[in-house]
Amino acid sequence: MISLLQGSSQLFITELGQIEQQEAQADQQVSSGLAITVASDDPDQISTLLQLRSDLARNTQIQTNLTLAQTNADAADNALSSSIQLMDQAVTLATEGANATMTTDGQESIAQEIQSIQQQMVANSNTMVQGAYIFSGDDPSTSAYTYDANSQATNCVDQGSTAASTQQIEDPQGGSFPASLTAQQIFDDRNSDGTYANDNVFQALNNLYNALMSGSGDAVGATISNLQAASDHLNSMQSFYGEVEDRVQSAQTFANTYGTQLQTEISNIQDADIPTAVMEMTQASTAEEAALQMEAKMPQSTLFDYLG
Amino acid sequence: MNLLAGIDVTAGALNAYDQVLSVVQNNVANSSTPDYAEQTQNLVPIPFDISDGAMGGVQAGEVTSAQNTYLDQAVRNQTVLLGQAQQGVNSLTALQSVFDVTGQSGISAALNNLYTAFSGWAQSPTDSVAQQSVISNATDVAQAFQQTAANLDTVAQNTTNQIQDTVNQVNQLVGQLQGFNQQIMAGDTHDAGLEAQVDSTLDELSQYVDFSALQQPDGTYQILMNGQTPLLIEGQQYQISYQPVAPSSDAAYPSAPPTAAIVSSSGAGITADTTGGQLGALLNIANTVLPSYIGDGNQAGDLNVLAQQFADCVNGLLTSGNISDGDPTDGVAATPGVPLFTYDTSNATNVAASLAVSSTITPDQLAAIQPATDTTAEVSNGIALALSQLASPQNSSQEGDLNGASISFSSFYGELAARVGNDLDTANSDLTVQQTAVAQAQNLRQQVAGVNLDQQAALLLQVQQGYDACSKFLSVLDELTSDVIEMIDPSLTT
Amino acid sequence: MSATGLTGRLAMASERMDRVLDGLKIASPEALDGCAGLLELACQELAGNFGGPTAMAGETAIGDVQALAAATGLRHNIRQARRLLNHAYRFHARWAQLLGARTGGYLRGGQAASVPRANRLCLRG
Repeated sequence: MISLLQGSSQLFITELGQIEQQEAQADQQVSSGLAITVASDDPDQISTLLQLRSDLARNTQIQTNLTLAQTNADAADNALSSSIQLMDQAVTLATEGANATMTTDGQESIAQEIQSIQQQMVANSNTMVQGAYIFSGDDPSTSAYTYDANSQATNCVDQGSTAASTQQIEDPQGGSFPASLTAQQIFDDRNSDGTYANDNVFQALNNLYNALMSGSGDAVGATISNLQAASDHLNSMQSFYGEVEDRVQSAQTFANTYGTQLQTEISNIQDADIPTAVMEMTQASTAEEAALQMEAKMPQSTLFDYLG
Repeated sequence: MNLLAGIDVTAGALNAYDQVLSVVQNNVANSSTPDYAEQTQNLVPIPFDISDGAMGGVQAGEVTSAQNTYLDQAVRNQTVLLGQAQQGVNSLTALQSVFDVTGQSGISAALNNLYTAFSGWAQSPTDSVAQQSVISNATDVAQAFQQTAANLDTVAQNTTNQIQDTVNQVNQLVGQLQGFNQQIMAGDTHDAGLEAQVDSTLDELSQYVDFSALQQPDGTYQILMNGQTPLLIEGQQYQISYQPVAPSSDAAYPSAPPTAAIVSSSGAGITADTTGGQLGALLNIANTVLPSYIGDGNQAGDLNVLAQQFADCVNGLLTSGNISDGDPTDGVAATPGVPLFTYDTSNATNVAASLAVSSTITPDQLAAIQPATDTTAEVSNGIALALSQLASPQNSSQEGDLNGASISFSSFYGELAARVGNDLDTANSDLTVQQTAVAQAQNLRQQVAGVNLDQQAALLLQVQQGYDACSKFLSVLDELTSDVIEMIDPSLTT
Repeated sequence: MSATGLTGRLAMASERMDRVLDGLKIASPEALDGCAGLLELACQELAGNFGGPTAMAGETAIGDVQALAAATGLRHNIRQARRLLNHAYRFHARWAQLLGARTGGYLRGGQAASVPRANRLCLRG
């Protein structure tokens, strides 16, 4: 709608409108705390801002993931510590059982303790965190092993999950890394042809049990080297998880720092400079008031009003 | 000396002054009438040549209006630009509101939530809750695209309606001018009151379209739109009309939305020439700005391109993976992944509006497993990890392509929003300047139309000196300011 | 010269430019004379006390966000002022041309005659 006012009045109204617009914009910034609420506030920064938010969202989720990875690694470490203690106990018992003075009854009694150790070892292989079997590889919903005293051919254990562990953990710096081993790798080590390896934990314990039940001290003594090999194997498995814990911790440190950096960058772009916005608002308000006062003082009459 | 001749001259002069006085009185009475311009009684010198008996003196000439076609046209030119800028701001503000950049809603927020879901799924690839989260957030992404497409359609529809309204307004105003022309043809061609009405109507018309108004010898006005298309000649009006134009069947995108065309009364297309005023701005929105997002016969529209590229990227990753490994020893083959998103494949300009999550996919059909290759081992959550990396792409296969440039999908959307933001920023700037320019033009007309010839001559001499000085100082000041800017930030070369 | 000093000078120049814009909106001879004076002062503020761009090299103003914002805002106003000045100049120049043609006709080369300054009335009694 084109105004039919005098030129100077039109000019005044135009300027007043512009001052009011500036004031409204500054007011909006102060009340919302944001310098960018729509694209036209700072078009050059929009693409960068949206990408930063995506980076931040991803980083935040990775931090959550790393917390779970940390929990899993800690649980695995604890399970391995417990398993190593159990193996040490088995070695001690084996040494007792191999003693020439041990009676048959004594050996049978030790065998019962070994059986208990076997069951605890199986329980360790089925360690769970938040409902998932952490040693079941890529099939965490299935238990790794079940103890079965009748499964002599398979060292008194029935294997559940046979899935490999190929899952990787997201690294906030980019890329990913493996963070878990399977129960088979830890407790049921095999040779490349599938036969039981010398340091197989389940086999070492089962062999000890059978030797004790046979009543032969020599047979019991012959199992000790395997037991020690299995213990060494468990130690090397534990050091893997130690490295995982270190890596996860390093990733968490990076993610925390990166997250703070991203939030700072986002703030720098989208947050209003409050002191400046307040100042602009005050200035615009002052200018508006001054303009209105000036207009009120302008003479409204013309020369012809004074002619007769 | 011929005394009688001398008396004749004086009498004639008095008569002339009498007419001048009546004109001045008319001026005073109408000083506050809109667009009323001071009338001037031109006094024409009578030839003085004693040998010929011509005694000189002055007689009243034709009454002409100090209101010159040029003075009014100068104001109208700026008003055309003002109408154009104002409409540009209005339309672009509506368009900008379609693209949320706060991260609280819309496509940007939905994409981030989906990326988060992908990452959570990568951490627990067989967890049903994590899988369901992916499906839910993918659904939200599809709905965000649909909503954005729908909102753009609304803007397009509103623009079309406004074009029709503007055309109607133009025809109505020209109709009024037709009436004025008829009055002029029938009556006094020097009715100052009628002239004021004509000028007022022409001023109003100038906000809608660019036109030239030529006063003919008989006093009627000839209106030519865009300087060439007749709207009004004497008592005859020539109406313009709006027509939607669908893409031709052999166009690259034949199913795209129609564009807007303005047609003269003779059926000739005048869209390309109509760039000024409100109508020009609306046509630009309808035929250039909106199609860059929703498509036309020649392009798919960047919103559709983004939707398609994103969907294809996600689907591509999922179908390259496996849902389960199978069992080679038992002869059970691996189960390949299935697509997550679907869209209208028959119409590239309908992708965003039709984007949806496949109705047949179930959470456990999301393929997380990245199969082994000749050089890499299988990774049970490899596909999920790759999808999670879409948030912060590591390579071009995880990015979109915007006019040949590789760009993350988040940034792609950001560019769409930034584009309209930039346009609106420019339009706001133009509007501010143009409002000032119109006010200046009206002020200038006021100054010039209200003074007599001697004063006008003096005024023109004075302004010339002012212009020279101001122009010189402005050039120096511009250069100095650019130097300061470059000093503060050397990357900003001016 | 410190960043604060630069920002202060830019602010003063901006204040002058705001008044120049006000004057250009009116574009009367008096207003234009006023504009020229204000522009001269603004030029002095930016150039006179600096010793030229070479003296600014290495100043702590580099990277100053506030000063940059003030400078870009000033440049925006300068360009707006130029636009208004050109617009008003074209208006007056064209008007002079038309007025000259109406009152004095055209010259041999086709140019409009310049606007006559003397009174055209000649009364003889």
